[in-house]
Amino acid sequence: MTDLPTTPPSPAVPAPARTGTPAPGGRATMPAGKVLVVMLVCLLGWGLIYAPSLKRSSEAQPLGTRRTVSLWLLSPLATISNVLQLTKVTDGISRALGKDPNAAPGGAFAPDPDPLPTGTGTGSPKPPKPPVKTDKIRTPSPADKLRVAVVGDSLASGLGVFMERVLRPTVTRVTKQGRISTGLARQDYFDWPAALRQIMDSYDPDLVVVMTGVNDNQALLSPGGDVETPIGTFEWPRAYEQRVEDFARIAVDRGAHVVWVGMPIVSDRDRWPLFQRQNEIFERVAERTPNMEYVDVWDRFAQPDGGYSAYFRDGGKVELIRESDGIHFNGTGYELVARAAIQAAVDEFQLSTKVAQ
Amino acid sequence: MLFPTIDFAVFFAVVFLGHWLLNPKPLPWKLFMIGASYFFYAWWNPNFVWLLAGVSLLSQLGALAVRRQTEERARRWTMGIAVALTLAPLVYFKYYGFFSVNVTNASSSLGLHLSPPLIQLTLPVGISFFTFMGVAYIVDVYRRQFEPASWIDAFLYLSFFPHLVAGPIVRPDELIPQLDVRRDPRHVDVVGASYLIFGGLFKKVVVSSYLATTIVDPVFADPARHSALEVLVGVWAYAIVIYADFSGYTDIAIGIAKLLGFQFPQNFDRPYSARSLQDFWRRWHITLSRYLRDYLYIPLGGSKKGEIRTYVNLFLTMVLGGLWHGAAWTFVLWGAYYGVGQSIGAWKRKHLPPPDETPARLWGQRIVTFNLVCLGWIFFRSDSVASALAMIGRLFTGWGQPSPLLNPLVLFTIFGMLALQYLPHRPATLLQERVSHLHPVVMGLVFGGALFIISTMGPQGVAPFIYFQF
Repeated sequence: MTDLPTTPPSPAVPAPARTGTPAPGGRATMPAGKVLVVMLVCLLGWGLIYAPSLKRSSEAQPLGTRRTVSLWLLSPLATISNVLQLTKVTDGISRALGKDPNAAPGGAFAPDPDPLPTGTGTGSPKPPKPPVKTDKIRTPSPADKLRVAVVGDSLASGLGVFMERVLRPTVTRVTKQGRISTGLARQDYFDWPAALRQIMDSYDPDLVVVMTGVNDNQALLSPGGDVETPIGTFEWPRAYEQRVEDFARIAVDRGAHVVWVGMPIVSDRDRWPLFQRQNEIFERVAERTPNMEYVDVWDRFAQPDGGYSAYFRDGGKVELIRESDGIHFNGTGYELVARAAIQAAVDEFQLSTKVAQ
Repeated sequence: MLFPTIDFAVFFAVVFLGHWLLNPKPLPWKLFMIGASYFFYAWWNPNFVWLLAGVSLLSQLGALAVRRQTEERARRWTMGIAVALTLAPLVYFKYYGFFSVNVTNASSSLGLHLSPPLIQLTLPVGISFFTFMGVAYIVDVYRRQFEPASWIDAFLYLSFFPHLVAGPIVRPDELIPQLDVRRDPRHVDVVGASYLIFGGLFKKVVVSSYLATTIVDPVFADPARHSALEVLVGVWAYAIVIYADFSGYTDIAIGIAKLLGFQFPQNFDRPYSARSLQDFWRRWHITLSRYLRDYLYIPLGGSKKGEIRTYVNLFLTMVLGGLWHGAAWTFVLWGAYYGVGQSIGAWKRKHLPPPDETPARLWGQRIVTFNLVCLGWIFFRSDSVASALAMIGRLFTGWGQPSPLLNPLVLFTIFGMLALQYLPHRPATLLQERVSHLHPVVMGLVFGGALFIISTMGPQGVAPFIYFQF
């Protein structure tokens, strides 16, 4: 797009004249009151035709005041939009622009998620293979590359990029399926079990690397949006553990090996209890699930006194490994996590060391 | 608060109303605008509001102290101290981590084992921009180009929300005089402003997001898995991504200021039609280029101290300009690359006769310049020097491999955006003139429709603007 002309750079740009001369280019100007009308009509019109999408996004927000207020405001607009049949028109326009108007809101925007592999996912699934207690993962070759899927939330988004960079392209293929703001709690926002089934059926990965949990400090909702287990209840840990196990089973029952990367230590100590409890759950599930290995990245990146540090000391060399949000890793950090996950597969599943570079 | 959000739309509707209602009363208007600007800044992180206020305080105290001195030597020292104090928070927040890691590692390799405290600091949004404006204010007062403003004007100048987080870098004489002009509420250039805002939104939300996710991110993440052709197109695409992202932000900022009756300087002028690296920097991030020229290159001596010194000054200016973008060796190299390139250009202009102007030469210069700029973008975008070198290496080794990331829409978007650099202004002017005569309700519906198209074509959610991190 051409640069939109404003005023040429000059030592001093004069303020607009008080006399209200016409704007440059022969454009007619307008009184401020009418401009406000333009703005309000624009926002109202947009809100009306975009209300169904906005409502779907609001429904996916964490339960709380903001979500309640958003829905309170948007529900009447969405109803009007439906009554006036605007939804049909806008859905048609959305489809024409290449968007599925009824797509689940979660996971559509991420740094670099690969498109979900095509396939029904539910239509005619392959018969589950019985879990084999052997730990050995197959040795890949250039003709038959090791298929690796990285799944999870925004941590997996970053991890997938560096997993791909660490693994040799000659003998591995990586699908990066990390999706920001997702997790196992809110299946109404993004239905991870369904997505993983789709990935397994279509991509048939040999190794599934999971890193998720940062957004799971909330009630557990079904894909239909029903609250199954509220947060803060005695039932929550048990129900969450069941979701973790069910999720891992989707992969291992189809013959894949699973490396589950735990939650890393974070700067906000208030989040430590939940993250540590999640890690206990991940580890416990891994212990009882065949071909599943848990990788601890809490202690690995903690200081000797157990505290958080954004830096990692390797001998005399120090490197910054975390983003300033105190949760995510930078590239250096994700590479360390990727190497730890691969090492776990090497140690536990006898993955060939030649897959990493 | 990001511009392309509902939060900002609601905020701006309220501010727009308050702004025009209070317009006839200068003091309440200024207090209202300062309050709105600080609210805008606090929405991102309220803990850093004190920093904005602190830099404003230091700048105003510095300007007043400089003006109070009569003896030239004392003025110079006062200016130097004031500038250093104003820059101190920026240096601390932006460069301390980089400094501590490099000192630790360098001393370790020498067997000294120095260990400055390793602290990771959150970089306050916009600090590089409002700090530079504060420095410009002090220096302009020192140069007697500008009299210190009132306290309230100084605070509003630095915090005025349209330019607060990512520029344009507005000089004191461009904005402060406007604060005392009563804007005419009967003549708001709504169509000129909306053209900038919607054009900026389209560039940011649609163009930049599409190319970034489709080709740029995958290619830069791991060039070894992509063909040389994909890498080459990925680098071209990044040139469009950063241009669409940053110029899109600037257009929105200028458009918002225009709705409030303010004129901001232009920040981009068809940069990818440049014929040389020097020409590129006259067209790219113009307010930073002229800032570096006026407040760094010229104080270093500019071209007045001999030929060699001119090249050294050019090099230093560009290296420091690179470092301004981020505390990393990639940015240092990016700046050094332009320092060398600008110096070579200056040498050529001085020692070689100007070549004949032919269309072939003109287009050749444009194509070469664009690709030289793209080479620089590789360092700018890469997460490490090693990654940048891997990208460049792949351009030589990955030919003849499949390129599944390339599709007609990617190529159309890249070349379409490049072609638009040469589009005459006339069609856009005519379109604006037509729209400006619409009834306000019809105009609102047209704009609402445009917003819907942009929302639908863009991804869900809004990625932060690239320049927010600087």
